[in-house]
Amino acid sequence: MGASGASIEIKDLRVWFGAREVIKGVSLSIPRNVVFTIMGPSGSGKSTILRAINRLLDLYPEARVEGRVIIDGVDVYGDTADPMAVRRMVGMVFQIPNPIPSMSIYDNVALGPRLNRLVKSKKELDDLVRWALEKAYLWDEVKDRLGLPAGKLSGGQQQRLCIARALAMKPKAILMDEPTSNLDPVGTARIESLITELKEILTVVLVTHNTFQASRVSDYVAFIYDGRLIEVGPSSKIFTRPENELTEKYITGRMVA
Amino acid sequence: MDTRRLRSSLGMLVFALLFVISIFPVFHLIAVVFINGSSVIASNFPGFFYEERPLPGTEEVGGVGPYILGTLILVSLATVIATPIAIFAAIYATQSLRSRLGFATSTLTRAMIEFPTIIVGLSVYGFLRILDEVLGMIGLQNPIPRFSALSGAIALAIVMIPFIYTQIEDGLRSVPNDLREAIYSLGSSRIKASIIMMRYIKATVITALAIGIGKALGETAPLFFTAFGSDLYPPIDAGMLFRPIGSLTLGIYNMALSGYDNWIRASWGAALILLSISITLFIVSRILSHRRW
Repeated sequence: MGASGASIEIKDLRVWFGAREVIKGVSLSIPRNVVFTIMGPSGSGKSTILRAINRLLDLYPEARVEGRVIIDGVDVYGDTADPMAVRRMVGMVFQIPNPIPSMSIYDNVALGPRLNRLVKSKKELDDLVRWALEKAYLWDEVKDRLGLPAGKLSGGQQQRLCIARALAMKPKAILMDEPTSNLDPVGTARIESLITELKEILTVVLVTHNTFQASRVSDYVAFIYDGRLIEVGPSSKIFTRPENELTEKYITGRMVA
Repeated sequence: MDTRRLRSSLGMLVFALLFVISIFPVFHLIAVVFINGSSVIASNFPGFFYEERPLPGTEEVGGVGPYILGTLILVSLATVIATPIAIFAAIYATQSLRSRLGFATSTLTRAMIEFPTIIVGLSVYGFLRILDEVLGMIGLQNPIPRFSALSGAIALAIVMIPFIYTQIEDGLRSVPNDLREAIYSLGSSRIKASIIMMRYIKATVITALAIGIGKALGETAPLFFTAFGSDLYPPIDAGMLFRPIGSLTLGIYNMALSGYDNWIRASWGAALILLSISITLFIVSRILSHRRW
């Protein structure tokens, strides 16, 4: 496809839920076509950072965002920014596989292109659905039953379906919020190998609390603790020579929350 | 028998008795309507479904055809008016984040459930009366006559809206958060996202429509000042909706209070037909909402 990923720049991001400050000034620079992992314990604010990138926090009336997010030069929180356009540019995969259960496999993948009128013909849509399912390594398993309700697939298949659904919009980046935390080891392994291949076509921002997963798939790792960025750098460095004591404690499993 | 068992059986007996007492009125109602109604319908079958009201005080059985037709027209028209309004109000209230107007929509529409339906009819009448005056002053004619099928349908629609609205709003609010996030993450607008969510809660949407239609079917009070009632078939033409029209409920009301034996009998027949439509609607909606599409 040759489609290139987007770079994402986060500058002094602060997020409040009501009066509680959840993200306390985080800056990250995510290069294009890499797997960038945001790692940290539960409740550290990882998912919130992810939802700030594609403005999904807009859905929560109590959330307030400060700072800037720039995706490929587009200021996501700028006055002229259109949250719907931002979300088209950045796909998302969630912790719980969430295809629309009663919709068919095909319709789930076709949902984004249809919503955003990305295709002109049925043929073009068919090709796009096939491309997305192939990219998500699901095509061979479902090609004969595209009309089946998505709810009938296994958990791992549903998660790959969700990846295909995000890919079908041809995004420049994909945000993954603990995509394997509800999957068995087999499903997890398939998603992980998929993640490392996806960076060929787009930028992957992965959130996980699992240090082993982070070390297996990431090019860069940012360690977040209590809404603050503790340390960020190439994966090889973070996992072998962490500079911060907290990071070291976390990756060696000695952190007491 | 020891006292523990005795108390247990006594308790069960009390519960069984209370159950029978609470369920009795429902079965009594259905049984009485069925027994009285079926004999009337049987004595003029199938003419009872399409003939007009009998001459009063005769042995003639006649029929309730115009009332059935009127009810069908009024309720379908009211459904067509009420459904989009209720759905869009529910979408507005659930998807307009941070908006006071959304909150107000929700609260006020829910309050409308408690409105006495006679007031709804009266206020539609009053509103159309004012419209007459205002438009008259600038030399125009009010397009909606006060006593017409259209005004009746508007009154019924106002009665229906809060019932449909409440169900759909609750349904939309019950959509799991992860699904809501997934739909929005695909770059969909609020309207489109809501339409997809409605597919997800379609069982609720069907139930909502059934409740709304069921409510409209059984209403008499809002029609007194609006549809007004008619005992004859309306001429089927362009002006049909602009003339008074009958309904099963108005027919039952008028005939049951008339004092003529054959009219009272006809009202039992009409009651059975109305009850059958309601029960059919209930069953069909149950089946539809449990079916996988």
